[in-house]
Amino acid sequence: MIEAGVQTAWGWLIALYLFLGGMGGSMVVIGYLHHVRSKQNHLAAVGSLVGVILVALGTLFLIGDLTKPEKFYLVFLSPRLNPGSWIFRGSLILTLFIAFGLLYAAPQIKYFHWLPWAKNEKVIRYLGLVAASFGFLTVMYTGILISMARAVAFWQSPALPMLFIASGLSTGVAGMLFVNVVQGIRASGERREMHFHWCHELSLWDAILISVEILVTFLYLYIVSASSPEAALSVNELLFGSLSIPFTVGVLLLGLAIPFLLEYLHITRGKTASEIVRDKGVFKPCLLPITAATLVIIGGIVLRYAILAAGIKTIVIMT
Amino acid sequence: MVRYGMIIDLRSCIGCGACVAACDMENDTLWEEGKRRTEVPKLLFGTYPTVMAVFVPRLCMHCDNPPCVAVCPTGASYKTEDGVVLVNYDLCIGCKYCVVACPYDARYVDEKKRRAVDKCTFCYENRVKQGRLPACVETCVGHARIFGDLDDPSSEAGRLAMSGLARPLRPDLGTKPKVLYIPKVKFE
Repeated sequence: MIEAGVQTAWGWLIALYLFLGGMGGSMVVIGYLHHVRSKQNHLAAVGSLVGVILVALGTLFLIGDLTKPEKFYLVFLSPRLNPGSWIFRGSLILTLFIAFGLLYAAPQIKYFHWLPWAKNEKVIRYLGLVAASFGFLTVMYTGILISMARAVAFWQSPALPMLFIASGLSTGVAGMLFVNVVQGIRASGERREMHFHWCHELSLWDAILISVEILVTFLYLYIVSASSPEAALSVNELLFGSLSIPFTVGVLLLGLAIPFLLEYLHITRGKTASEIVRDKGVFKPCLLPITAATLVIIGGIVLRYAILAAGIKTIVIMT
Repeated sequence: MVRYGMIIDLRSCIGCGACVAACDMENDTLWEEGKRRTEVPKLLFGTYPTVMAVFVPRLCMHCDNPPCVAVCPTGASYKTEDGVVLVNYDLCIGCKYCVVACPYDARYVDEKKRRAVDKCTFCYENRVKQGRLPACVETCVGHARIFGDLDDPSSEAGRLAMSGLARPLRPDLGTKPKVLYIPKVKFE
């Protein structure tokens, strides 16, 4: 006989925090890669700045979830600090990410052109590399954090951080798509064409990331459910139990399957760059990827919540 | 060095809940559902017609290898020299990582009285250090809770711990609990 209970200590605030960490960190990763690849920095700069703001917002949610939010500084300054805790390590990663993210993004924004390294492309690139590395660590850390809670068998899988990385990068691309379209609407002529081209490119990346995420989700749920009876309880809860509507509809259908189809349609049947000039905008021709991006973001939030809410602990096993 | 622990004899527990009440009186806890240092749930074993109800008192297992201490960022959760796992309420910021990480659901957030995560202390500061027994042990009518040094073969707790009769919950996790249960039905 199994006496099991669901963890309720971490709820919506932590789910949003994990989501924002994944999305914000990824936006700097994608931004930096885009910067290096296209040798154009205006999407990278604004995208990275938005990413840093999202992570900072997530940090506020984390602090807001504390029982004593006013004592959050003890994470760094406690006299008996535990450097092995992933709350401490994560806080350190977040702080360094926000710092380097700002150092990288700010000098590329016109209000901060007075910064001493604003004209030195090489320094900015190096800062970008550091910021993107911490961005990736932020994404990975959100998965490690809950995997380290050993009480929940369902979370004891290396596939969980992989899932969070795939989902994080995918939501990061979705965020970049939004920034790109907003920039495209405000741009004109050749620049608008360029933004439309990037819309295409980002859709392709997102479609690839979504297919990886679908694969990881399948492998994770399939293998973890065979690993132990209590992990199987969690998977059962996600697919057929109280979380089945949010998970199957919110995550699998709206967050993965439909966005993938939309991106696929856009990549294969979307308008070409010459048509867009006639349309005098990037919003309409990018409608499919934008819809997909919105769904990907909703799916990312529900995924984090569903994984936390399916955290079943088994306390007593006897026969 | 002593290694405090508790043996719980499931054959003698009648589910009266006196331990829960004594704990609250002694430690001034919240007295709310799910926010108690010890509870006595009734678990049902088997399927009809061979069913058996067993009261399984639950509390902090004071693990030798405590997952809560490993995840605590501020060092608020710690293990004393005597092996008792405690929370320093001043250092606890309430991130709840330990609540999530505890396999025995022994921890809860006390938002009102201590504004920190709280759990069973074995009455370490208020009783054990003065040579008295924990409140739940002293009050138990069935002598179902036996407290003492698990390494001391001359104590009742030590003898039971070494007898092989008493077993930990979830030994597969490697947490090495210092609360051991003498089963009413066969463990396995």
